[in-house]
Amino acid sequence: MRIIIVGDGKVGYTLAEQLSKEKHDVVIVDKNEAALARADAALDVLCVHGNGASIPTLREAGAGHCDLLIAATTNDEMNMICCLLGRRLGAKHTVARIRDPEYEQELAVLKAELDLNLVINPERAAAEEIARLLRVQDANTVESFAHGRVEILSFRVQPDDPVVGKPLAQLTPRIPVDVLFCAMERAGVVSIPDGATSFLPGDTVYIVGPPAMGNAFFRYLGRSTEKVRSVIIIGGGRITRYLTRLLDPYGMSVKIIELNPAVADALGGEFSDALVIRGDGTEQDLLLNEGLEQADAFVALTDRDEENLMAALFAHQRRVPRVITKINRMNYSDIIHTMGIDCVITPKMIAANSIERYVRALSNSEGSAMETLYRILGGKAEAMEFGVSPLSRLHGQPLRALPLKKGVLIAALARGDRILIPRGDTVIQPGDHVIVIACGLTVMDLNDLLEGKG
Amino acid sequence: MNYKLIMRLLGAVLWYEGLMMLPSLGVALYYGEGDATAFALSIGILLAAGRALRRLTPRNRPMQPREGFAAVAIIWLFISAFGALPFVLSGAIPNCVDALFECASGFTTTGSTLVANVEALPHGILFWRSFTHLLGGMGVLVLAMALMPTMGAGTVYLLKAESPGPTPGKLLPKLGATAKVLYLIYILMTVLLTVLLRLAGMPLFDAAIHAMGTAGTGGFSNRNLSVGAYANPMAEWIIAAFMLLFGINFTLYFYLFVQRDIRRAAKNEEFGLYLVVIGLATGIIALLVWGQHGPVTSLRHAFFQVTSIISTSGFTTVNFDLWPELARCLLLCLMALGACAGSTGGGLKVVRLLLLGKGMFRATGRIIHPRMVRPVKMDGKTLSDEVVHTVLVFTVGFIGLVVLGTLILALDDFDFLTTFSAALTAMGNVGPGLGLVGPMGNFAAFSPLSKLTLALLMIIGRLEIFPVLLLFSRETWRKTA
Repeated sequence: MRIIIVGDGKVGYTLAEQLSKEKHDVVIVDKNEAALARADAALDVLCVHGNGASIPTLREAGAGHCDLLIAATTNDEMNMICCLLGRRLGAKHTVARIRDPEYEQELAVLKAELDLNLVINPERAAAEEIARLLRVQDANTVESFAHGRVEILSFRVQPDDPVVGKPLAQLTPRIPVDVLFCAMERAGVVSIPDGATSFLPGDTVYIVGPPAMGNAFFRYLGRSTEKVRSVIIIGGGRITRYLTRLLDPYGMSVKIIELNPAVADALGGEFSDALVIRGDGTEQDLLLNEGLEQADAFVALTDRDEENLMAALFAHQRRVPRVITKINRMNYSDIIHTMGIDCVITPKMIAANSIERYVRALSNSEGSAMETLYRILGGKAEAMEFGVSPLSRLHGQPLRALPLKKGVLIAALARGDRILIPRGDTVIQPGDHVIVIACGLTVMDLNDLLEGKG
Repeated sequence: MNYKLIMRLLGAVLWYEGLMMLPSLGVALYYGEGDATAFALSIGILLAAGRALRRLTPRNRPMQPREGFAAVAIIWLFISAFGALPFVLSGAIPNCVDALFECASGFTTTGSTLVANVEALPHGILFWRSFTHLLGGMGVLVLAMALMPTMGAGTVYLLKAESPGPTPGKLLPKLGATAKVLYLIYILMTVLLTVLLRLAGMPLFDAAIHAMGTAGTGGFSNRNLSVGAYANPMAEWIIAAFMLLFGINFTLYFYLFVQRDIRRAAKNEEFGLYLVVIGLATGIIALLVWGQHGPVTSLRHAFFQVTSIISTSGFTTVNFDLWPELARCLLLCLMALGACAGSTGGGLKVVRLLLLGKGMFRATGRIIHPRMVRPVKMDGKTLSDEVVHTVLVFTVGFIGLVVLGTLILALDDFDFLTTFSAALTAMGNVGPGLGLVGPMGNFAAFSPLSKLTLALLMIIGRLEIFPVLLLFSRETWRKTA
């Protein structure tokens, strides 16, 4: 597919990198020549210098015959104009990043009027993810599939966990909860566990199952399962505003610490239930005064990665049970991991993931449409959901007999209202939704899972 | 420097060079003049060397700019050396230095020869000599990019180092696709020219030789008198027209044939200036030689010689060394100027003259209005001062290297015109010079040192100075993590 990406920022660059690797023809448009020079040198893409909301620039980038136009500049209005023009010029599909909470109400109207195929709001998506994490105890990440009926959770193995040191073949029958261990990372190496695998303290493990499984499993591990009742958030940006709205129905008490008086005042006016504190959220005295040690969760959402990290480390050291940090730069995720901070949210990854999912669904040839895609383990593996079409070659025989490629795992099946954790004798039927884990290969279609194409 | 990465790339290119000798082997077998074994042996050596180098597994790290640029320079030195094998093995040019000179002259599309009697060479050797023009014109690495499935990130530096012009870039999102489109246009035009020359009455072999020489803007002929030997005005007009065409930036053909956007192609400022320069030079020279050749013939000779020199092909129809002084000086200027950026021609490139002129205009404007803000624009786009600055540095470097080359050649004690024009013609990848190295002379009289200097100048000129200069920096060779 020919894909134009307007805006060579964090999201644009990540997307261009992914999509060009997947053999799409990618054109990047940006006003900033330095950013373009970097993309031009590192990626196999075409760079066009100019304003993405001007017709000549869009023409030069080939908007007239492109399959997809993605507007991901920092400016919402610019993205809308860009998609509108692109559509008029003949772009087949358009995706815009619109993230101002002010537009939230009118989004449906805007989407229809501008004829947008997809609207991406990284901050809202990040807030949703944080809210999910606060609801489920002890998981470092939570990804939901099949309209929330299946979840993939991850946790870090602790030395006194009952899962340590036993091969999975012996361990699984003893676990009272129906879960499947679907992926693991040890010392930076990602793999799919099998019967002979045994976990060591420090491993990051992914489990899949219905939503109720999470808390039951952590109870089995002997972890604390008290509900989060109080949350401290530092930074009063867009994510905070979305998050506060999302947390409202759960009756959590939310405390927001914001440095900028004007922003703090605006937040105070917007949320009457939340307590807004004006002050520097990285100051230790302030945090302790505001009851950091009594809080159930601490979320660092300031603009600066360094401040988020420092504040999160401080909260971690003060034994706050849940610590969630926003990090904009992906490059250091491995290092952050070694410091004990497990819950890291990267909005640009979330945005790139949802666009990526859309692209794969578009380029899907045989109709087994990809419905959900999450990149897990810092992008080293992918978790995907597919609807099984009658054309796929997966159904009709037990899983044991399928020639699955190395590095893929069928993690769960959603059939009607039931969730099945697949075993060797499970048979996939058309109409099922399957959740697949793949590491080390790109899966565009369900048939990609099988050895020997065609 | 990631040596293994460069060696592996070199291996791939040598392997392709071996494959590219197959047509010459076919020609040699067809004519049966005893040069086939030399080709078979050379192909064997190239394939074996390429195979061995491709086995290396470099660390998985994207190519850095300096590795890209250094790789291009190293690869060009090696392909020139290995490409000389058939000349030596067949005994056509037994001396190693001479063979290297001839092969470098071929790949860099210079077309300077030191063979006095080319008509005595076997057909296979003649074909290979001209085939190097075809390969070198568009670039061996561009060819490798078109053929190889994927070469990883950072490969764009190879394209930048090998394509002529101040701001080379991609036409299509994928590098491989860009290389394929460029080569497709190039090959189609070459085939068209071959057919036209055949129709104009040239023998098929000669038509192919001259088409390849024209396409790469090289200038090797299989006749001692070059194109003049055929006394075929029709063929001369065709070749002249195609030399003009091959001197144009190939991006314009892409706009024209692939995007069907004539206006965008016609608005190109460099193309306009190129046509103006050709028109003016042809007019003036035609008037100057009117007395010698008569009206129509003088126009034909002037047009042929101007397009031949400005496109840096170097074919000749007449001994222009006997023309009036102004005509010779004009041709000398065109030698330095060269063709358009992104074409197969050499020299300074018309676009650089254009930018220098604009820079000069701005400098005088600044004296009148010291606070004037006027960025240098081209084709409606603002160019950064860095681009203008690099053009300036390039021009000074070009002149400096010609002077240095002249000084080394001066050791051989020839007259100034011969020495200077030899250095200039090598640097600009033109072919013939003036004086002893004029259209009727050759480079055989120079000492081995001078021949090596000239060969190096050709490669420096073809790769636009910087990649080769990079090899002389100690920093380049330092190992990095």
